[in-house]
Amino acid sequence: MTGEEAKALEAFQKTLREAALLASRDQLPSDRLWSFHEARHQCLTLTRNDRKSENSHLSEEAIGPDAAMRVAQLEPAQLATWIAAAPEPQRSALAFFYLNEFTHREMQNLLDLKMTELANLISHGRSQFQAWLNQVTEAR
Amino acid sequence: MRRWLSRRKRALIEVAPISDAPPSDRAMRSALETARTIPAAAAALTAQHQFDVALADLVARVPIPKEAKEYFLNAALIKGVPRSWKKTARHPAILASALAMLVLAGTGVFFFLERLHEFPGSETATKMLSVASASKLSQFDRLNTDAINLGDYFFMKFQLEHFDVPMQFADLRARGARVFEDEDGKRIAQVLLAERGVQFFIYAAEKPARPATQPSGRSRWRYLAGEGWAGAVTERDGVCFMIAMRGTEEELRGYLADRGR
Repeated sequence: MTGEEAKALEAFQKTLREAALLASRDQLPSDRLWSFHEARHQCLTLTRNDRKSENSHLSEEAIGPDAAMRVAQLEPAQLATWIAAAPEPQRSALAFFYLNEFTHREMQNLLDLKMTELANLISHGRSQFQAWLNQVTEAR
Repeated sequence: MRRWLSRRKRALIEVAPISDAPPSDRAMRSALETARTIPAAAAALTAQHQFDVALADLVARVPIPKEAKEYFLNAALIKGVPRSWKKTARHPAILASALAMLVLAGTGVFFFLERLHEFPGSETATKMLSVASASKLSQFDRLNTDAINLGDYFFMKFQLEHFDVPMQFADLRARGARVFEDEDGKRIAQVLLAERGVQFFIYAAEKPARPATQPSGRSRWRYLAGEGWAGAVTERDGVCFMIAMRGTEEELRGYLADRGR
């Protein structure tokens, strides 16, 4: 979400601090999605002044038959950087989706998106990533 | 490729779960089942799934900062303490509910106790205590007879059937008697006795008591008090007999116990 470890850690600590503050007032919501809502909010706040996304002008390509093999050649940090560079709310949608922790309804709730909007963000994200993947892995 | 599917199902397939576990969402299950029946859609779905699995594996390998990891190692230590029952009991909502329940229970008990003291004819009996306290000899027809004869007297003179005096009072002397109508038009016989501060009232019961509530051979007395008088009422053959005595309920109980020997 942030593209930088230091910022990710700061967002994490701010989320924990907010949780502790609410807990001390006996106001901590029982909703398990609360912490993810809060973490996303902290990430967005911290990256508000970052430079514009580089992914927004990426071309799109259909998922290739060898996509999984190409992904296997990547380092996790490369994927993290690519997702962090995506524009909002696509960045959050891809981050939540590939965390593999939420149902599509929970993601709609977290991102305040309609079903078709969420589907479009994920679908375009896949195609754009595939296009980038083709470039990166071909260059090797 | 996926144009055979509805727009809604296409949208669902785009966000199909990455794990192999069957989705709990019914709409999602239906979309996936439909897609698997169409070869082209099934192939695209398989490619998408393999792509998503590969990316999710990569995400899972994104390193977590050491400082953040330490929080998870100590997660058990900062796990929330369950709310104690004392704390729960002090919650305003719980307190308000408990108070409301107490008030309801108190009202219920109050009405139950009130009902315990009520019996058919109790309303009339209560009014008779006021009548007893205000009655004067001049209001009565003069008599000088044993109480046992009063049943015949009321029947012969006023055609009031079963207006008899219980045998335990048969030997008391009656000095006066009258029949009057209360505000409901009910005819009530009142007897003034030679014994000072003791009167009889006889009137039709509002609702005859069930036979099971009245053991045979023994009068069941219901007590009431007011206006400085105490009353005891018993019912037989649809007629209430009430003895009113100046004093307290305890004194009347003692009097009746003596008369019952």
